[in-house]
Amino acid sequence: MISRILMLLIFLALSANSAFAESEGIAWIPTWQQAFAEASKTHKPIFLLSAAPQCAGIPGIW
Amino acid sequence: MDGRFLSKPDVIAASRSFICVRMMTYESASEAEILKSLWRRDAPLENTVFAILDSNGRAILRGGRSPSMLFRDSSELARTMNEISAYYHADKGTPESLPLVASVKLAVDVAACDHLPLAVVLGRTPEERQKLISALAPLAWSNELIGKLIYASGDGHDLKQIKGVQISSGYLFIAPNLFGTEGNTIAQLSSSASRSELERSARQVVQSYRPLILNHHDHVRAGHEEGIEWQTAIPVTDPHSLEAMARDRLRHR
Repeated sequence: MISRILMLLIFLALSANSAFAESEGIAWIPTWQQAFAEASKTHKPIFLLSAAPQCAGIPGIW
Repeated sequence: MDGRFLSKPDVIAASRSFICVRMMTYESASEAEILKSLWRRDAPLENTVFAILDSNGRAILRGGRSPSMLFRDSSELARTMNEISAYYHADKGTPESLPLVASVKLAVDVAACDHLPLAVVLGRTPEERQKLISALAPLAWSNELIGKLIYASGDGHDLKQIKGVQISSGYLFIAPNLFGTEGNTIAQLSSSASRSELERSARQVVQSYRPLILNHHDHVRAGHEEGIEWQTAIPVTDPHSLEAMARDRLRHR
């Protein structure tokens, strides 16, 4: 019974995230050096953010 | 990251007239210096920094940890972005280089954070990798794939945490695990793959990708329970983060 509930929860979690990567997102350049080179070339302003790819030492989450 | 602002369609549309850079805090000493120059004078660098700069790197807006500290809502942010891009005539030109994370290890983590698949350019020599990178770069900025994959490059030595690799040069599409500590190869193409084969594979990976996502609290708790710990490249200095880490250590001792 518990394993069925667990399977259902995983299924629901995956269903809720279906096509996640298909949705539009900001196209981040991940390094300053590359971004600055592109800005110099295109003369576009820079939208800058930094974020730590870990929370309390746990990776996989901003 | 501030999804209330950054995942909104009007902000995403406005971002196309900007070069958008997201640096990984505490993962590069040289980038930390740039971030500190945009942060409060003499204050320790915190987990997040937000600024808008001109194309020469001069600040137009700065001083906040996130857009939510400077704007009421995403509409106000998008409106301001559109005004700035109009002022700078920024509707021309598209980036050309592949947006590469500094290492495969870090890229697996970033892909997990973003809930996106990872594309790794694999080559035995820098010259071979560069050729493969040049072939992939236009696809990364195409309407269909823009912002939908994370990218890295490396050779066989960089793949210690990647399972299922059968090629020594070409393209790997990777699904990171929940914590971004390992990845499974979900598609791979040899270096002789044509542009259309590469495009088809990338599109299929993006369309079929189904990441498992936990809420923030459950993710951190599960990580502590599994004994996972990320070592940053330079020390964390965010006072709030340091307090939280000390609390968590006591709780999970």
